Amino acid sequence: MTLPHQLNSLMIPMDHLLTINEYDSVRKALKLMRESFHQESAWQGPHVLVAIDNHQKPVGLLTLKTLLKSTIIKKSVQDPYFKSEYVSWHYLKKCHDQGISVREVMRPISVFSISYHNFDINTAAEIFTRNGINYIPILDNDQLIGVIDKSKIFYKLHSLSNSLPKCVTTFDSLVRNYKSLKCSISILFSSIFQFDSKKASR
Amino acid sequence: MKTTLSQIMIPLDHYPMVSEEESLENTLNILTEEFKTRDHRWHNYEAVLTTNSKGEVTGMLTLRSALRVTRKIIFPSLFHRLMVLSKHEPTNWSTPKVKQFSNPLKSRLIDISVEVDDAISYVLKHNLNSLLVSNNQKIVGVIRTIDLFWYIEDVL
Repeated sequence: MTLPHQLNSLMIPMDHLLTINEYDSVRKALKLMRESFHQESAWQGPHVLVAIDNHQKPVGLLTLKTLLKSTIIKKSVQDPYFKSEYVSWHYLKKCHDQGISVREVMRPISVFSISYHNFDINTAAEIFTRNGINYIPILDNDQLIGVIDKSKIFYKLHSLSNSLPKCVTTFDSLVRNYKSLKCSISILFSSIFQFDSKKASR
Repeated sequence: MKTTLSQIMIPLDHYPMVSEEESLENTLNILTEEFKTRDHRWHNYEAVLTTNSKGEVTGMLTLRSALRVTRKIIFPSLFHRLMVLSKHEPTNWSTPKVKQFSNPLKSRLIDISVEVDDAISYVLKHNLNSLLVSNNQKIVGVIRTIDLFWYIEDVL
């Protein structure tokens, strides 16, 4: 279990993240993402935006990959397969004419999230690797308080692994002790068995 | 004029390269050192390319693979611990070679003549963060999601 103060050093807090309304266009999100890159200093800012609803409640995350989806929607309007399906084509045409909105491409916060108080670096690493995502929202009583990014989790874990040789040595010595114990017990039992059989033969 | 992959890709020499025979431990250290030297923000480079004895690129150890293997080292599963017990072998994490964990080329290779739209589709379909660009069967560069990001601004 990672202590909350350790999580604070790994997390990008909410006040460092730029927000955009979920009904705003992706074009606006692209501009805001550019600003986010340079938010702290040149190229040091987060590569993620938070989508909020009309009540200022965070509802989704916009990452580079989610923004790439918008080009697929744009391209699909010309696709004969979608044109043959009235409903999909109507939806795509609407996106094309009115501009694609943030909510069409964002990843809802509820999809992957971790509770602040139950944060565990192992679980976070598992979510990153299993789902191929780069950011996970951190919630405190269902309120978004920040986002953790994959690279920080890796560098933290790697720094932890520097203390690994000790653990490995301990584990190895346990393994060796277990094996020698197993060997000693088998020698003991075999000698007892031999002693009993000799006694019986007399 | 249409944007091409060669215009937006990152040249190979921007990435650290190691021999595929290099130990995993050293490779992970190189990845971390690069992170430190590049001002703690690596703009989605975050990968090490592996090469064979001829100097040809054979794979890529991405941050995701590095995270996966580091997690396994620090938090080995019960199954893995039992395997160690049953194999009668000591645990030595410096022995594995990077080639055992790097991503093979075929899963992330794209030809330089492919259109940028198709590269985006490939990235999204296979859920990747970077692609290796080949020209005449030789790796010439890497395309990252951030490089594609600059392109979509022109398209939308």
